[in-house]
Amino acid sequence: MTNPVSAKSPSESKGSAISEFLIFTLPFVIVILTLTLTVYQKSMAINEAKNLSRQTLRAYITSPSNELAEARAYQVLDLYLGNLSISDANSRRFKMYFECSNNPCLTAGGSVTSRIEISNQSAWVSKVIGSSTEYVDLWR
Amino acid sequence: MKSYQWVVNRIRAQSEGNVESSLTLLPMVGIFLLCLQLIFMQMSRSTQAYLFQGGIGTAAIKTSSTIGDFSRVKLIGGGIIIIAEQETKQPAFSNFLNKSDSYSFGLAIDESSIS
Repeated sequence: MTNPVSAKSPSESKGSAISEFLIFTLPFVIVILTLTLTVYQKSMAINEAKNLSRQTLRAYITSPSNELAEARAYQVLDLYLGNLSISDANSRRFKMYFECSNNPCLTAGGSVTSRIEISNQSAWVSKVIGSSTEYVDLWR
Repeated sequence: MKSYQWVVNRIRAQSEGNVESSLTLLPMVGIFLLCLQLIFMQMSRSTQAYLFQGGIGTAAIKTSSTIGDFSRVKLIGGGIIIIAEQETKQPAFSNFLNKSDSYSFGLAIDESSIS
């Protein structure tokens, strides 16, 4: 009644080091590497989106008038896009939105939220959103 | 003579796969160094980007609009954006990858230029 598999002692189960390396170690290392690089890539993308949203919002909120606010924010975004490499600029799409608590937007004490959406088709991290909120100066 | 043959057989039986397992160490070390280099490059790039942007942010708050090694662009309606770029060489752990320069770019609204 002994099981032929369990009856085999560990010293008899010979393995090939190369095949074990190819089957177990290599995929494991590749998965770990991919995960680590994805985490770094995601972290960089989030940092970029957050910083860009913060700076565009700052340009928006310090505008002397409501009419110029959006143009100022887009000027900051255009300056940033102008310094990207050609491949980066082609593969990534930037979208910018503003949400205001009051109407007109730049009313003293009201809050403005800037949201930047960066989508990248060629990367593992396909979409990243960065947002920031500020209050309009009460003494403007 | 019989005992000598027995000893040889015994040694042969105990030394199976030594060369093979040693050979797998070579690609293992190669892959390990390659991974280390890639991970370190990414880490170094992100650290540099964070510090660089932090430096620009600090300059935008602290300095007046006339000092500092930055380009300045006038904003529509008033105010200045300070722009800086930096190119640094990445440190290398191994020769598996070419040494690459990393490029950082950052901008911030100069707070002293806003009235």
